[in-house]
Amino acid sequence: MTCNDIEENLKPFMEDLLGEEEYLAFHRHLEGCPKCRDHVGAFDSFAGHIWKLGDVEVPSDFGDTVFLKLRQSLPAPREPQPSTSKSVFIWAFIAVLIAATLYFAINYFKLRESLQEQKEIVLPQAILEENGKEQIDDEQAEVLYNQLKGIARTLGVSEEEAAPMKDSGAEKPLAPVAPVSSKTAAVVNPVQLHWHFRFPNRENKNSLLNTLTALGVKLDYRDKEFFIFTATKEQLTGMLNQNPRVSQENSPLRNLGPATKGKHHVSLYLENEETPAVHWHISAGLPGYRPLFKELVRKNGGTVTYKSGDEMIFSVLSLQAKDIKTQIAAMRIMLDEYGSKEYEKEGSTGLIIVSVYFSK
Amino acid sequence: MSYDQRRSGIKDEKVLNLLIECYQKKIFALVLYLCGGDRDKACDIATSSFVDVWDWAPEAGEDNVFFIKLATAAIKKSQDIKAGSSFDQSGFEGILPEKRRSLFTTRQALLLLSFDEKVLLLLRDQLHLSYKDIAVILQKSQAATRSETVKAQVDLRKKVKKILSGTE
Repeated sequence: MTCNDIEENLKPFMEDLLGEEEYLAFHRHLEGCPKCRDHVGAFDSFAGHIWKLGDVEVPSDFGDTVFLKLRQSLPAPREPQPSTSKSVFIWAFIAVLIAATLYFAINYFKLRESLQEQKEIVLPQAILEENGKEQIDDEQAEVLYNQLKGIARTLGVSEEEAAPMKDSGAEKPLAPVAPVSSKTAAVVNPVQLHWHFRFPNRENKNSLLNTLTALGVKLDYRDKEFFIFTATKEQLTGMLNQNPRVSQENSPLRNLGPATKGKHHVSLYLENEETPAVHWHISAGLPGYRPLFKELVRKNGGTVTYKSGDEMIFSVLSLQAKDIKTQIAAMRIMLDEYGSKEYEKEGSTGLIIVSVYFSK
Repeated sequence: MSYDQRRSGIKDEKVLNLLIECYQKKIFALVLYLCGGDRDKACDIATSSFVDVWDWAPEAGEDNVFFIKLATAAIKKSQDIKAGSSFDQSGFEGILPEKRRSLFTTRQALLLLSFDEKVLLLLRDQLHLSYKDIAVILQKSQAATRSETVKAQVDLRKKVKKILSGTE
């Protein structure tokens, strides 16, 4: 409808005599044409008045209120209904009560002692932030040391745990290190060896892996140039002899380790300038340090993917890896780093895998 | 609509925002006059109507149907409100004083009508809906809707005369 049409249809509109389609077309034009709207509005009619009365002020939070009510109206997801069998519930309650009583009875004295001695762990970062210092002082270091001793007692940690943790998405770890059987108990624990193998190219690395396979050595863990396996002295000697690169003078693998009849648990770090692997040696002389380190990793958002004997492998964001290093240094604990330092560069992001060897 | 569907529905915030922008004034005004000028009640009913109707997420090109459903919900919610007259003499600044007086008189007369008559006049003369759409909202025939609207318009004129003569 045009402005001329509006003028022509004005009288029938006022008397509500327009057909429906014309009526709608009439109003559609008025909505889009301020001139015609004002012209029609100037006529004094009840319909015009009612139309003008519609020009009200809407509350400014109208839209927000709609969204708020909409969100409130969403039903909560239904939770699974627990079993309501009354007698089952009562028996389960009694069983829990008995179990709890037995537990506390057996552990009463042990628990009392550990509760008295257990203190809250204060991580170095918290201390640093509190004091505004860049390094903790001797007094604080001693406090931390005593806390670590307390943690070890409380947790009753065995430092020879071998259970692998959840796969973080890195190369799939193989089966964990098998526990030493009672037949080799004479040698008791396998000798723990940690070696570095500096390989110049991928060919040498593959050659080493082929050698291990040929000697019947199975890798217990393999991730980002950090291999863990158990082998006899004969197997290890064979590996050194068959792989010329390995026996090079600059390779620490030449120093095989104490001659024993038992198995050697070997963690092997393959060094190469191009690999993105990150590897740390941390002096773990403090008792109970390893659980604290694990806690440190966890608090910095890391995930431990392997923990065994003297090794730990975890994945963490680049930024957090830097923070962990800072916190270890703050604890006056020695850390030697090998491999890639890319993660320390400004703006570095992404997940990295860190292999750790706890040296004595 | 399942919980997940409703959750996914609310993610169409852009669509809902557009619909609110398009219809908030119309619906608020409709309910405001049905509630006798109580802005808080009107806001509550109008916003709740959007929520009720949002369950039925409109397809493209169905905006008018959405508005009809919205108006239907709003009218239904307004029915039980005991409407007084909360309008004051403010508003419509910029209009000539005598025209303002006419507007206020019409408003006063409108508020004196029955609920059903108010609905008819507001839907027809304020929201400019066709008799067909009004019939859908009120669930009546078009013929009945038209004749009742005309009757409401006549009643409105009578009320205005009474107000002007001082007998109302």
